[in-house]
Amino acid sequence: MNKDLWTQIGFLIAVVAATGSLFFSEVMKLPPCILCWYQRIFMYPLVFVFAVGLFRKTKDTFIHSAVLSCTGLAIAIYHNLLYYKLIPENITPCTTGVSCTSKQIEWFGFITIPFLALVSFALIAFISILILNKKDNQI
Amino acid sequence: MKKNIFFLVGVIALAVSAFYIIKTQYKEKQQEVISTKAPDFLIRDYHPTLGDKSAPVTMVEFLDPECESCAAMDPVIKGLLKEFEGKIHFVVRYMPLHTNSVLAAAALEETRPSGKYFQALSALLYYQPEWADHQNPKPELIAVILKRIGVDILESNPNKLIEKHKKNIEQDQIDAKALGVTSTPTFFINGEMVDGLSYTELKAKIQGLLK
Repeated sequence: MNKDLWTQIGFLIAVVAATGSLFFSEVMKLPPCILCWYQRIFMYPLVFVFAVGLFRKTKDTFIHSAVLSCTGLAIAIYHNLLYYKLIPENITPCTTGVSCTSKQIEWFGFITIPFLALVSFALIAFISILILNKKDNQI
Repeated sequence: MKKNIFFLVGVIALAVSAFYIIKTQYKEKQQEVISTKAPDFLIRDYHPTLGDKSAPVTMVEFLDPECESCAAMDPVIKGLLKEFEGKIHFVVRYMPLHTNSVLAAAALEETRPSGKYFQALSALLYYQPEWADHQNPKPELIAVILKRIGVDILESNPNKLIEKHKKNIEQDQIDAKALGVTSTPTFFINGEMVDGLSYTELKAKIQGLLK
């Protein structure tokens, strides 16, 4: 397994997710809901974790990315459950500002912003855990 | 190692340029939509205006009396109107975003028959820190401030005032939404949404149109 390659993939996903989310809020002026903010908190540092990881020989990068992405993934799962009405909306913490369930973008009928976040976190979490499960400390 | 430096710089450069290219395209598309909607939504017949309708430049501002940036822009606008006297038709529309914005807008509308509207607008924006502190709003001061410039609405009931002018303020909001206005102040110069919020940028835009 090539650690470098996986770090690069992780970096790419994090960069795309970070710039994408900034595009949605800063250019398209879609206000981020509170759950989106929490997810941003865990996505943005991943850019730097992987950027540094590109120059490290140990697996430490993936410990950091696993912690960040799994926490982000948990929030993303919760957000998607709310968004797709699998759990009722009245327990959402968003009472003021933008509702976490207001549909702002829907591409091809299923690609929504919370869905994109979920996929990004899931991919990064998957990569991190995959690498961490490898026995040797130096790949 | 070297390979990774190239990768890092490459990805960042790519992401940043993609961001700006898509941004430019998005803005162009947005402007196209605005251009098709502007004739119907941008100017109606009830707004406070300054200058001649037939002036070569028409500047529409969507503002919120409680918005700090609008207050900061007020002297800039006044300066531009003076500088290009007779060449700008200035139109004010509302986009209430804060707690007492609607009340302030209604109070401003109430000053129109006295002919002191623009004085009242500047006064409310200038004294904004007094009445519009977001943590400690004092809407009762709106009438007091207007009294300073000789408009007396101290006896008016705030709710009745809002009720009286609600229709136009709401229409402004509907039009703002249709035009894609999401923040205040938003300026339209000859039907085009202006990006920058500075004296230099607005002046350059106006000068470009007057050439």
